[in-house]
Amino acid sequence: MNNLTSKNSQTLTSSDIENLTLRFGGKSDDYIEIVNKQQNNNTINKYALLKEINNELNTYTS
Amino acid sequence: MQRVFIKGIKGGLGSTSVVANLACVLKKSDVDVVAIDLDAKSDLGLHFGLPWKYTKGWSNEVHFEDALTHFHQDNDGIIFLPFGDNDDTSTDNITKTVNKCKNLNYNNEAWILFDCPSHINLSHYPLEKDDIVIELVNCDAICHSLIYRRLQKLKNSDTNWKHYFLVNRYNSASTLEFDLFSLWQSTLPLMAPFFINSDEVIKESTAYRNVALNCAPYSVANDDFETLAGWLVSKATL
Repeated sequence: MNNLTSKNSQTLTSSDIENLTLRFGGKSDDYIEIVNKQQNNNTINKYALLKEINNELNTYTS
Repeated sequence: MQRVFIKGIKGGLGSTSVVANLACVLKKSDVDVVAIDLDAKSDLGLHFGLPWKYTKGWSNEVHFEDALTHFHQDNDGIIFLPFGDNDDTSTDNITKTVNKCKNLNYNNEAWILFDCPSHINLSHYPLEKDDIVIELVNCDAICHSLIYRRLQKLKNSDTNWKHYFLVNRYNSASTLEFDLFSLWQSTLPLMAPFFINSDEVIKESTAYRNVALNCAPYSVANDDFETLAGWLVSKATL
């Protein structure tokens, strides 16, 4: 089963939800970005360079 | 006039081909399209049928007003300005040329596309609020690294232009490229939601002194450039 969670960009805040709110109205809470986080983690862990960059970014942001 | 700056995040990513093919697709909408070559390779004109022996361009002139004689128009009606063959052109001169292009007499619906060399940092371009910057990337690990370095710089600077990353020469048969594109699509907020496929048509059309739209209008490549043009129109009017 896919693990779908909220998008969590480590570098910039996405403007997708803001754009949806502007275009279709409502509150920003009404919109959820879905991301297959498990698949992303698998990809990051599969490749050494991606893993290193991800680790550095996590260190940088924490 | 909508300004679009197209550059590779590293060298050799095909920015000149993208500028030429995009220009032709935009021109189909019967708007003015101007393509300016800011790259010292000065090969944008070859895509538009400029004779190989013609080597002069804006870099050969001291004043931009004199460079007006180097503007050309191709068979599709695209106006383009070659870089020329002055090897001593400074980054300052490139900045000045971009600024001078604002004085060109075109209406608000016109598109002006800049073919930017990858080695000149974005900070040297006089970017403004409504400008669109497209950084071309390949689905490889080095580009992954460069994208994250760029995002960190963008985050810490006062950028007010519209900045996007666009995957060029995507190979759908590659597992690595699929993995990277899927990852970028779901984690990078500035990634264009499509890619330009790797397609022999782009190279072949250049060899035939033309662009994909004219050589292979039903090709995957031309489809991709039409998608890019439509997406840009939506970004320009937001």
